Amino acid sequence: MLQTFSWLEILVYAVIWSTIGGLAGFYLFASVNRNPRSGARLGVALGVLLGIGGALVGLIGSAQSAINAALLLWLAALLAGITMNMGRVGLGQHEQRATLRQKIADLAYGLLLPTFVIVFAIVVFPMLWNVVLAFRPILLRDLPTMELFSLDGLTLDNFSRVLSARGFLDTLIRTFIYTITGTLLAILMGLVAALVVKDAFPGLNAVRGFLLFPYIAPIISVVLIWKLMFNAQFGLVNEVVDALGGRRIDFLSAPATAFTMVILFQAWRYFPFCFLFILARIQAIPDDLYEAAKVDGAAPTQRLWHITLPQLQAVFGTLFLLRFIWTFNKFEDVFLLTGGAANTQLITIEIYDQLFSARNVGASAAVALVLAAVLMVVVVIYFRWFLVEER
Amino acid sequence: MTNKAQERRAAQQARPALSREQVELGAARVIKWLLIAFFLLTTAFPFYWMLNLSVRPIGDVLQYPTRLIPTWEQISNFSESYRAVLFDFRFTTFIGNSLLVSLITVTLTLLLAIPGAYAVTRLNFRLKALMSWGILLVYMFPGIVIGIPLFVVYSQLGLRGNLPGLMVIYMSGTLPVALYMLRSYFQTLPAELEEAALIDGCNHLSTIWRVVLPLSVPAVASVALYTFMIAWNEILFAILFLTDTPASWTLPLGLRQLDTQEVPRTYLMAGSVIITVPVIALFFFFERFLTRGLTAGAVKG
Repeated sequence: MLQTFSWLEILVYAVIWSTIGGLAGFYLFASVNRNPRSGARLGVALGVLLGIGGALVGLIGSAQSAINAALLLWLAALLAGITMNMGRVGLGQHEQRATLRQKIADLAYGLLLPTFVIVFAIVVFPMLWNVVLAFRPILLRDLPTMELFSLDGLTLDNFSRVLSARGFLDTLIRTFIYTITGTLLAILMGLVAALVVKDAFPGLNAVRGFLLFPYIAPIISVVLIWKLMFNAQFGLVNEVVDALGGRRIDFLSAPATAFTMVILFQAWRYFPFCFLFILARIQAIPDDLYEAAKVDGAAPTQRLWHITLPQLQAVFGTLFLLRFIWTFNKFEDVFLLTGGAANTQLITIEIYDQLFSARNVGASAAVALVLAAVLMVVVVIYFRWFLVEER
Repeated sequence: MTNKAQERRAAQQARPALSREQVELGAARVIKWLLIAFFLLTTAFPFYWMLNLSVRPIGDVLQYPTRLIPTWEQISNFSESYRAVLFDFRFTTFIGNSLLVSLITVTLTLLLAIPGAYAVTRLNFRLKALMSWGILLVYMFPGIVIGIPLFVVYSQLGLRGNLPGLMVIYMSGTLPVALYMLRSYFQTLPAELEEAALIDGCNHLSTIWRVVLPLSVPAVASVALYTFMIAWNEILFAILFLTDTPASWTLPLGLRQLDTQEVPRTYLMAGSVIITVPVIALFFFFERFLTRGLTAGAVKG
């Protein structure tokens, strides 16, 4: 009995199987000194035939069996390559016939294809497929049995559920506030740190090393130490608060302070990144500029204001964009610090909550899609603004 | 009035009033040292405190929250909390998992990224721009958004809790970083050396092995370290994929699961020290290479 498939399934299977077959054909033909491009073409055709044919007649029924088939195919290609090489069967003369240009290009593809396939399979493809998931009614408990690439029952329910939920807009706005203030604070701290260590002083190298600690240490350990230092009962910070005559606060779980704390954490953890960028730029500013300003009678603050800062403008722009994107996407920092409680819910944590608390895969994908869309809009606006400024 | 006092006054009058330059420089010196103190307090001290809390029993912490230096007895008994974490809380397993994941990720990343970076720097082909910029663009993609579809696929394939499955995901993050860092390094190497090797009968692969690689030891070392740090510190995908299978927890995930009411904070800090020390030790050891790599636009975070 023949299975029926939607056009999307056919398309997805075709892409997957032509990748699998194409890779095998490319390297097999290259190994026996034949034209790898014709090998890739042959492999694509065979792969698609095998994959889609196998799926149609029901031989390849599950994703697991598809993986097995793919691995089997690759193993066969590997063995074929080895035996043909050893037995000197079917060796071609690609080396002599092909143009230098084609040989170089073939080599380049051969070296880059594995990387490209991994990145495509793990990043680009899921990103695209997330769009489909966002329109499908899938719950967590459906996962083992659902059809992976089906287009059945597309619906807008996920979006209406997510967007109309109380607090979603607040979460979005909070994410923006968190991102922008955290980013600006990190850049400001990085600037101050760079100005402080730009001239040599005894112990400079050690200080510069320490400055990078927050950034290179594993996120989980810095989160744990923050939790203990700001603990209400025995946290060191609260001891200081006590000694100064203030009232003890549970900084990371009190609604009044938690949000400020996660912003401060963000600035503390990522200022070293900004520091390194800014320091590198400061050290590249030519000394003549300062000399000339000195001759003209400019005081240190004036030199800072009129020479150093303007020279750093481009770095600030780049840093803001990079840090904005990465902070907006950041999940684990706030998730580990507060879990999104006490008014610190962010849109990335919302994605996680939809998946594991609401146990709704579709809704989770919908939030993820909103995140990606908002991010894209921001980046486009930024680039337009930035380019106009440049001109 | 003595002669000396008169002289001193005369000298004072002769000296011009402090210029703005001198005032500001003096103030800047004071502020600079204050700021250095501030930065050391905020960056180095928390890590010292982690060490401190990892040897003091919780009773002692509650009684003397501000004891800055542990007693001699506490210091000499430091192994108690570390042993408990390692053996009673199965940290040895987690360390094994983390080492396995990180080292294999590093090896495979280098194996693919070195030839790949060579290809995008030195070889000409039609899709060059697409491949080099496309891979770089991946940098910007949000991990949590990719996480959902991957979670779905991995659930169906039964790959959740499977360490090789996790390594492939880590590689998708480390490969672009490695490729980008290596490319910017290869661009600084003189192409004449490779051309000479090619003329002398090397093919491209043996040129990479015999000429490019020996010249790139510092860059390769720093890429290896970054890749290691990324894999060693990673927790988002570990949470998503490994939580249900304790036998395959990596170190960060294991530490996170320890963070409950029942576990003494001393053990938690001992675990934090165990996970942090390798990273910081490696970093100090290779600091020279690393700072340059960071500003070369590396490491997402």
